[in-house]
Formats: sequence, structure tokens, C-alpha cells
Amino acid sequence: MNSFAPIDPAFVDVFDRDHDGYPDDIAAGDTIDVLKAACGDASREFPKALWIEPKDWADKARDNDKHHTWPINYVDRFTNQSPTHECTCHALRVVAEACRNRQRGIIYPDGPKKGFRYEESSSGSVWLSPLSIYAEANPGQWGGAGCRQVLEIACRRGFLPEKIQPREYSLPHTLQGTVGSGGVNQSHGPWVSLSRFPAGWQKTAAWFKPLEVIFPDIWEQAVCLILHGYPIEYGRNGHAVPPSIWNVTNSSAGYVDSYDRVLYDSLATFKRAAIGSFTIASMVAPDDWLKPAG
Amino acid sequence: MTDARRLSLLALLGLLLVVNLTAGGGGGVASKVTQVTYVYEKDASFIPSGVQAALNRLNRERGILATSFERDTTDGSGEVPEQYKPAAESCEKFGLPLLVVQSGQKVLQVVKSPTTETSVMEAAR
Repeated sequence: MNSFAPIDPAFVDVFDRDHDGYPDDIAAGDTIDVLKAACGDASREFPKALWIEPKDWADKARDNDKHHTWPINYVDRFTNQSPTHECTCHALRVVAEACRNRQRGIIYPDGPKKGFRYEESSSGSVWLSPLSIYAEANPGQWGGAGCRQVLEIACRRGFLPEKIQPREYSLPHTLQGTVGSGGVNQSHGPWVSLSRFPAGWQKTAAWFKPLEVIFPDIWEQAVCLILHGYPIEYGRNGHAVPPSIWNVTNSSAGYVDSYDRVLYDSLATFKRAAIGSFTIASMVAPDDWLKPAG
Repeated sequence: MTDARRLSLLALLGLLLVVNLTAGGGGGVASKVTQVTYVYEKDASFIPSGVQAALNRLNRERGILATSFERDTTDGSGEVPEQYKPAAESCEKFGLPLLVVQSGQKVLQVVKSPTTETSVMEAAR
């Protein structure tokens, strides 16, 4: 990946007018104080050790290009939510899965590739079900959810893993990933309410829970998180996304969109949205990476 | 096989046994590295890119379980994950950040604050 290559403007600030997974009335409630309160004991202030002076961002970007240590290099798959309103949960799963993969120590040098499965994913990457969070966030299915809602749910009880995994992990409980299109690396299926989750599901979800969540106070701190390999999540213009790479030439943030593609937010969009963003600094770790649910 | 050839073969086997016992400087076979863990506290430091790159290479090229462990991370039961207990104990002695090189549950060596890909690859040799 080359974070200095100019970005085609056609991929910048792509806002789907029909998408309403993050409606304005819900977005208004996602203030930084509310978000911090939502994750309780997991909430963390931005660590001073992660600050990088803006004049040094280009050097750090070069370092990431050389070593493939952008957040996007810890994302091994796309998901596809079309035509649902599950975006906040698809963005959250990017942040959670990238965190686990960073802990696991395996880099995916080209990031996610449509229709492609990395062999190395079978070494411990676990694919998490966005639906397992969304079903509780919005029992009505349509109309979207807030970043606060989904973060609170994930921090409280964790994700369920998807039905499709890169290897047989003997997971006691799984759930389809989406009611939307899914793909070769994402299971899809009918809507399922929380009351119909498989019996005892909480025991498995406890193994896929965020432990520490960092909240940047200013947009520059959000860039620092990305430079250090932490994807962030934020919502804007009706859609929630996980910025996962910083383009130095255009000062734009690339994100793994939940429609099998990588798009970019301009600096203006990023500055507006980054306050109210967060990243997951650590996830529950297994006793054995090949037995991820204990 | 003639007696002479049989004796030569026995002598050769005996020589090989002695070499094997004295390998590694004094009495045993050198331990194979099976696990490398970079332990850190995220409020105090970050994982250098070179270290992350090295962990990836150890996983892919040498089949070593090479991971990072943030000191406060727990398993699904709220405990220190079993696979990280030796590394966590090493940190109590040597501080953070720390690279812990193991053969099974045995800690072979620790390296304080490695920052480069080369230093991690060397430590895991």
C-alpha cells in the first residue's frame, strides 16, 4: 500500500443519499461524553505516548507503508450489508477484528480483497457477526443504530462469531453475519431477534469483547491512532465507517466500507466526524488462538 | 556385514551420540523457539512498526506463535490468558516493554524494549 499515491476524487466523500443506517437524530446523541459513558470501565483517554506531531506524520506513514502496519493491514475481509441499515455494526466489527488480528501478530499486506480469502486467516482470525450486535441495538430491524448503542452492547457482552470462519474453530455458538448480501467471507441469513439467539450464547460472546476503548479529543489524535495501527469508527452523513489508513498526499482517511470496497473521507469530512470517534485498544485474548472461545 | 564393518558402524554411532549430548554447550540439545510475545502497556508505549513486522515474519516464515500482549488483557474468564502467563511473569521481573522468547512454557530469553525488526528476528533465532 502506498499512502502517498494520490486518490481518485471519485472515491472521496462518497455519500449514499439512500443510506440511512446512521440517521441524524441518532447521530446527535453520540457525543463524546455519551460514548465514553457507554463503554463504562473500558473507556480510556488518548494516551500521550501515542501522540505524533503532525510534522512527523509523513515519516510514520512511510514506516507503515514499508512494514504494512496500517490498521487496514490487519483487516482480512470485506463485509456487505446491502440493503440493510447495519452500518454501525459492520464498522464496529472492522475495529474489533483488526484489534484481534493485531494482537495475533499476522499482517495482511494488501488489506481486504473482494472475493478472496487469505490462507493466514486460519491461524487465528475470527470473523465477528455484525448482526449479533445490531439485533439488540435495533429490534425493529430498519432505521439504523447509534455508535453509542452498538459500542455499549459490544463492551457489555461481546460479539458472536459468524457462521463462516476461515477454519473450523469448534465455536459453541455462531450467528449469521448479516441480513444483507454477505459474501464469500461473510454469512448471511434471515433476521433473528435477540430472544432467538442460540441458548447459552453469552458464554461464547464473552470471548469476543472489547476490553479498552480509546477516545480521541481532537481530530489530530484520531490521525495518530490510525498511524499507530488502530482503526477508528465514526458516523457521518447517514453512514458509519472505520477509517483505517491515512493518505498523506490528499490528507484523507481511507476506510473499509461495508459494501466490499475501500473509500475515502476528505480532510473536511474527517475533521467534522473524528470528534465522537473511538478505537478498540484491546480485545479479550484466548488461551489458545486456535480455540478462540475457550 | 563383516565384523570390521560392524565395529566401524558402532564406533560411528557412538561418536554421533557424544556429539549430540555435547551440543548447545554442555549437555543438551538446543531448545527450539516456539513462542515469542511482545508485552507492553499501551498507556506508556506503542508497538514499533519494525516489531510488528517481525512478529508477522516469525508467524509466516518460521511457524512460531508470535503475538503482542497488552499487559491488562484478559481471557473470557477475566484471567491472564494461559498462553501469556510465562510472559506476564517475566514482565514482573524485567518491566515493560519486553520481548519474551519461549520454548513451550520455558522462557529462553527476554529482550527489553526492542524497536527494530532485526532485533526481534535475532532474539528468536
